[in-house]
Amino acid sequence: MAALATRRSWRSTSGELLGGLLVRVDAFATGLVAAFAGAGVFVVGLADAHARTGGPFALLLFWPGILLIVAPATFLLLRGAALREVVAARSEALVRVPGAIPIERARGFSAGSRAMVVGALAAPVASLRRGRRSALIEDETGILALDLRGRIPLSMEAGTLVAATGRIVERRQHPALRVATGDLRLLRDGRGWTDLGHALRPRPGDAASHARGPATGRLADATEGPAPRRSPSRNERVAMLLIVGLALYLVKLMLSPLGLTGPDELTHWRTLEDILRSGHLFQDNPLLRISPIYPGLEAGAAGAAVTSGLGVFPIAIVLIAVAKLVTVLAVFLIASSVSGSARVAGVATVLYMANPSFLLFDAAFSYESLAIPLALVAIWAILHWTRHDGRVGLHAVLAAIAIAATAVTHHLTSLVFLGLLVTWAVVWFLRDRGRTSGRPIVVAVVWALACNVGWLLIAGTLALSYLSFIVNGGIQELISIVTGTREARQLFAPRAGLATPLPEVVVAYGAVLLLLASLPFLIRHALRSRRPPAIVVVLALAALVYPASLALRFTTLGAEVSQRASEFLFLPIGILGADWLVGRRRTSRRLPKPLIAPILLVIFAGGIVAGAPLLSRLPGTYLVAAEQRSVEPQGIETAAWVLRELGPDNRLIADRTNAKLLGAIGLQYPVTSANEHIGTAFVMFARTLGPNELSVMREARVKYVVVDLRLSTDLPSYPFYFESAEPDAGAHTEPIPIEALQKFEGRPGVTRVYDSGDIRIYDVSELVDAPQ
Amino acid sequence: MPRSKAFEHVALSVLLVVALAAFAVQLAFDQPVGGALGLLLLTVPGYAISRSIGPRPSSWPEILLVTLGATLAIAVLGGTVAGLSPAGLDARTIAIVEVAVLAAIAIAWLRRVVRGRISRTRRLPGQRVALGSLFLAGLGLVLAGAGVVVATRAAQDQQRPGFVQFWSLPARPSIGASVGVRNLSGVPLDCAVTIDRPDRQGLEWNAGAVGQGQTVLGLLPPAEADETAPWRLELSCTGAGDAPIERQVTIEPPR
Repeated sequence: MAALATRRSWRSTSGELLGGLLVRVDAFATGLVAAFAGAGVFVVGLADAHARTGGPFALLLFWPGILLIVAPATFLLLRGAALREVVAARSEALVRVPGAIPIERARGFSAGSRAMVVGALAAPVASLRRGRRSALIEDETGILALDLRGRIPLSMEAGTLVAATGRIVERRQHPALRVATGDLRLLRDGRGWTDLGHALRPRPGDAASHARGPATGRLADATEGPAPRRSPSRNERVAMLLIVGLALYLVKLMLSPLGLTGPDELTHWRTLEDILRSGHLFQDNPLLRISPIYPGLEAGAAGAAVTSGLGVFPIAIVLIAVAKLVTVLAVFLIASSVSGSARVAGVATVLYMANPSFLLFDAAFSYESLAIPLALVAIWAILHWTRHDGRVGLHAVLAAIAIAATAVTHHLTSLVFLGLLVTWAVVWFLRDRGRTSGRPIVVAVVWALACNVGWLLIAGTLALSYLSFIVNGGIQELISIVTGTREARQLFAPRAGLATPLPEVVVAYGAVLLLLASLPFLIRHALRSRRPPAIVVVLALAALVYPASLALRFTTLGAEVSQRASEFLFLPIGILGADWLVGRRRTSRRLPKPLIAPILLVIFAGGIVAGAPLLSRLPGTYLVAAEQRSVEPQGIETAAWVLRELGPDNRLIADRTNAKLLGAIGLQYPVTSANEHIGTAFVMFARTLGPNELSVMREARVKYVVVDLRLSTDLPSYPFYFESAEPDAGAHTEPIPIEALQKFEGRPGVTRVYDSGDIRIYDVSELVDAPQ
Repeated sequence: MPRSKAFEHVALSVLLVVALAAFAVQLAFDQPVGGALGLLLLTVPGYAISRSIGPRPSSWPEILLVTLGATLAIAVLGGTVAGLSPAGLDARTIAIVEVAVLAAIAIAWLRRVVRGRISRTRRLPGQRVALGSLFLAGLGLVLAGAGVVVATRAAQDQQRPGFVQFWSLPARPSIGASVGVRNLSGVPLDCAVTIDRPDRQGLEWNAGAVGQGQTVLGLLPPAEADETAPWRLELSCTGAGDAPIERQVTIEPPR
């Protein structure tokens, strides 16, 4: 016995210590999802390999791969046995505890409840009822479980009820119920109802504990009843979602497995390199001036780099993978706290992962990819902080550091987060003041405000002008479209001759229409109860923004805002939508069960189509001005050569792709209208080098001009060759003429110092420095 | 004190001491702890927070969220503080920040232990791994790994047009004007450079065989004193198909 106790002690302690680090693969569902997700990643890997050789079937492989990753988990997460089903299936198998009060005498239960609640459940509940009018129990599931004033929620998930019941038994230690405690504790420990038969099946290790009570004789009977429908436990749901989240991250990673190639990634790489070079923040980044103003991502990565000695690419992979895990976990736990149901939380997380930014944009080494999970952690911590009556403890500390970290990492996320907190505080003040503790919310608002204002004072107010330019620009553009003075942006326009296939377009529109159509129902469902919690009201208000965000898709500037808004708006949509679809509370209008999984998959696929154009979803051959599809060895090696032979920080002119590469890898300073308000792109489009061009070059004080002859071979895949301030930006009808690119040849004062075939570098310093 | 609680106290103490020692070494020698161990050490403060400040999360999803969330937040704030400090962000300042955070957590934890405010450890479920599930998870891992390998190999082997870098740099204080060739065409090449000097005798430089990935450098002779017209350097490499690879640069006459 002593040896057994010791072994259990070690096991439980090591489990306690490692619990946060290990994902327990403890049930068949998790393994099943892992196997399918692995197969999905493999198929997507095949699709990528096929696409690199220009094969025509890449897209036909890509979608089955994605479905293999997402579909099994979606189907399994939707499964949740209602109490009615489980008890009905187990009615002959439940342990009947000697001395328990027969269900018929358990006063206060409705007739329907009596029919379902038997033996082991009725006894502790009825017993407890003698002493208390109600029991609100917060379990690790975040559930306020039982209302004993006459009713038990009929559709409450069985695992939840048992979990709560187990806790009651444990707290009260009623003499008549002790015998049941051991059995119930097994259930409470994350196994749920679905493992009841397994838990009660006599095993050698359990003999000692079973022998304690008179229930032993009935335990054998417990396995004789019909098995209930299989449904995953809460922990299994989390494990499945983590697997899906990581598998989807691998999909992004396999697009560019050899290095950072995305335009945003190259931008933040430059900021990281600047911090590593100088040791200080706020070094000017010519690729994106706002990036070093919000250096949380790069400062964290730099700290990891100097501690581990690893390179930028492995650090970026690990950092973003961890951010993905945190995102998935945080969304699940927030949804679990708000809805009180692991099933709702699982579906909510799937819906959140369907947001157009999740697959690629939020998986890039970019500040937003880190800020989103930090903000989600803060929301979860504040939710739990309020549950503990505002006592300062773990959740307060976690909320404080997560809010501060968000404020230094990303402008838009911290502002949206601040807006959410303020709304939450206002709703609490108007509705729940005096009823519930709102101190954590108010403290969080004040702290978030202090962090944001403090950071603006430290880092400068560039963020405000940056954000107002994008948002105001988008809104102005939208107004112009509505008033008919400007044409709307064409959605799913072909890029580089690659048109989005019709089925994908249909799915994308279908997904949006489904979300729009369901929005009134899910908001009505959320607000239907007599007094929904403040956070639910806030989520409902946030969900209302979704249609407005879609309108911005028709603008050029606002399309980016709309895309980014989705990663915030899918949190309320996910939680409220899942609660409407599979939540406990009854609703008059709910989708038929067989349709839920297909609809979720359509929304998921639609999100991918809307957020990741065909061009950037699969790798392939070089394309002109096509962001990561334009990043290839010649450009990379040229940038490396420039740093090696010409040194860093030379001012130069280059097209958008080479400017990113030269800035990130070559540590050069490409001069653009975005960073110095000088229209260097106009120099490149001119067929001859006239006085105007020379004037611009002198004003820009450029030393080198980088010319990529491939620009003249095709139209740009994205709207411009150099930057948005260029002739015919977004409306090019023919490629940039080759004469324009060759005009530096033979020009006095210009020497061609580098030639790699397609890319040429001209030293123009003598020309620029010559007296006028 | 229950055995499991004592063990947890000892284990957490050891973890904190090891992390503190590692960062102290980093601080003393200005050298990174190194590799994956360095990254793991960065998660210790996050995990220690989840265990040392109440109310403690009781299920592994919450523990994992607190650990990873706090790790990210501390990494961001630590890096930011180090970057804002006069000394700047380097191995030493990061070590100082981490040591300070760990020390604060250790003090908070010790205070709670002394006051007996560490909540009772709630037993987590025993580890029951279904073999079938384990097999399926392993299969998934193997398949995902194979997918990543396939995609990586495809990226490495992607047929891209090979290229040759050709450049010339003016004289610098320690070295004269130079010309360089780097072969990234995928095959060995034979390269030669002809130097066209207007109104002067041309020059030739035989770079010879240049292997894949190899760089060959040559020094240019100084121009004549009265020579002002730019030099045109033409590279011609054979060995990659029928047509020679040709590159050209122009430079001011080297001095």
